[in-house]
Amino acid sequence: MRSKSTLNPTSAQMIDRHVGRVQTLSLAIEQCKDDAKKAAMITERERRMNEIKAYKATLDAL
Amino acid sequence: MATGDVIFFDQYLKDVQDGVHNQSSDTIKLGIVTNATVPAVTTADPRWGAGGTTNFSSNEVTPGGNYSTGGPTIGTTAVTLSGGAAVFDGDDISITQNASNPSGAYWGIIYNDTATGKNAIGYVELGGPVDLSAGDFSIAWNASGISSMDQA
Repeated sequence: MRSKSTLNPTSAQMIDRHVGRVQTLSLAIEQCKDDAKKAAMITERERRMNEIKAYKATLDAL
Repeated sequence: MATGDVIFFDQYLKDVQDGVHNQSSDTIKLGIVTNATVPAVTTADPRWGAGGTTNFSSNEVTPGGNYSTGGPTIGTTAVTLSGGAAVFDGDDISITQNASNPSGAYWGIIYNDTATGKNAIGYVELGGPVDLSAGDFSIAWNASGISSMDQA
């Protein structure tokens, strides 16, 4: 069993990770029964979505 | 192996079925080690500490700066079920540059800090030697999660 991580990723390389993490967090939030942990996941998901928006704004400005 | 590869120990496949790990609630950490003991998928009973056969903590890089003993925690871990696959994911790792950060880093050992035996789960190839005092260091896990187990 294995996976592939990226060391010291660029902003562009992070986009796929941000999108994937938002998806896994959304599922985890649905399935989570611990309120404190759910709150932490929601905060992390929000952070990732803001990163995606910021990168999109950079692209739109080109 | 290539830099960034995340490999899971054979022992982990047994441990997870023996109930050693609860990766949704246990504290999972990434200990960074030198090349003194090279991890392999077949490494015998790997641990972060004594109690097994292979103790990776004895080869930990010298803690300092923004790297504390035992390594950073992989935050907000969760195991989710989707489309017949159980996906384990957590926050990415980030170690900010500091002159006292360790050098000579080769591997990241993913281990369960909550488990009594500090059982190791897998390892990451860091493309060493990496000098963590020279610049910021980060690991972005795979977009699909750190690991996935399915019916195949």
